[in-house]
Amino acid sequence: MKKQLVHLAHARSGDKGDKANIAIFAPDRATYDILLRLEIEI
Amino acid sequence: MKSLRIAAGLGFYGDSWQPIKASIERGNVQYICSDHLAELTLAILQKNRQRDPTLGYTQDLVPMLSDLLPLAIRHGARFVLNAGGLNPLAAREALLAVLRKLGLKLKVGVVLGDAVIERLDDLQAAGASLAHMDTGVDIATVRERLLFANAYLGARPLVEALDAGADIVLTGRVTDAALFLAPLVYELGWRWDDWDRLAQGIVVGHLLECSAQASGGNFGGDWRSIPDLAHVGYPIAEVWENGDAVISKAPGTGGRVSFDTLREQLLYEVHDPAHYLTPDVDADMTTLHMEEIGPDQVRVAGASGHPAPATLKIVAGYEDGFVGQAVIGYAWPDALAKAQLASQIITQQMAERGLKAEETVIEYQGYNSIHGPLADPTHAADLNEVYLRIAVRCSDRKEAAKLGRLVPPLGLSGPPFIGGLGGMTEPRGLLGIWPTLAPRTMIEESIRVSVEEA
Repeated sequence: MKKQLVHLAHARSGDKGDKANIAIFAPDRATYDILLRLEIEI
Repeated sequence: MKSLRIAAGLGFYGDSWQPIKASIERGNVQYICSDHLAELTLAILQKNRQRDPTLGYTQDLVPMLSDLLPLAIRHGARFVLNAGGLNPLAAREALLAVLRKLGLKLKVGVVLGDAVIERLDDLQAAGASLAHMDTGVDIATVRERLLFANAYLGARPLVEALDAGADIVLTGRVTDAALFLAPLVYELGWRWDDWDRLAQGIVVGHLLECSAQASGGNFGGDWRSIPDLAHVGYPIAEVWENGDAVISKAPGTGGRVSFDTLREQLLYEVHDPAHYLTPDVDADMTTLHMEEIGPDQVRVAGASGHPAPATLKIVAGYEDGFVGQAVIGYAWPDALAKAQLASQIITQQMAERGLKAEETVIEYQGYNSIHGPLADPTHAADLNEVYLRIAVRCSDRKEAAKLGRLVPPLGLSGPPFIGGLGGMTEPRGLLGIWPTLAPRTMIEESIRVSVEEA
């Protein structure tokens, strides 16, 4: 089953200088465990 | 157990101070801590000061405090603000003049010593390379073009000002969280080597430093469900002597304080949650617990800390050329194709006329100006409208201005039909940012604190 990340989690990014961080938040432990297995292309 | 209630002020220069009124009136807060300085705000202030040596502080200071002080005095609230910018002494003069006019006998403290642009040679002579901390590039490459260089100071000099009786503390560059840590240390009697409490104070400060971004603004979760953002309440923290805190907001305000809104802010701009480095403590957020204990009430406890680093961060800004830009809009059908033809015509003319651009950016607003290379091409064929934005970065202002002149003729000699032509904007100066490190002892020896009464 394919699902877009936006329907699973929420996120916020912030930056310092030329570096940005992206924080992704899972609604529960089970989703968090799925996120840990994701490979994210940047 | 003793506790202190502190309120978020502004989150940046340009933010609204209206929500602070509810925090004072109905939030029972003793301090308002206000962040006016984003990374590059000092560049705006530098331009102001070049024009007029009595400027160089954020000019929201006087109107904001004129508006809030009568209320704050009635409720016994004090202010800690980094609105001093590049010129905290001038900020104090301007504020004292208003206080005298209003007949308010308040003490205003200033913290000096963050501006190090005149001391860069000394720092280098003492062994600091001042190389770019991310890229390692030698500072010599930008040295002649530096406009400002300011170290991020910690909370200690702010506590000194409070200790000397200041009702209002004005600083230049300090870490945002230090604005909040200072009253906690001062009122709750925390020691400077009590790393866990200092870490809790930094976490609370970090949660509050971006105003409504912790209370429902900019919320990446179910943003539709956030109530009444038009009357958003800024976050308030109650912090106890042992460091435990509850984050809330004033009753009757919009927005939301929840586990989700707070955890988004917790990691905002944090590159390593286990080592959030500040001049006051190396804070570890991974031991933190957050728990909703009521509507708009979240308990925050358990941050841990390690000794503060031996270096302080300096952020310098340098002139980095000029940008010239033009914007021109096209409508359905084939909006993107029309904008692409327009861009082709302009880039061809730029090449033929030898416009010397170090960088050219072409983007299609409505299609890829936010998404960049990630824009989904399946939307490309049937867009309602598209704006072409074309921008050039040039070392010379006149060169950058040439772009604007190429665009208006497209109104008659380009693809059909234009709308929303914004072709002739003046080039504007660009600023590069130079983060670097220096030994803290060398910077701290020049810190000065003074308090003056109106």
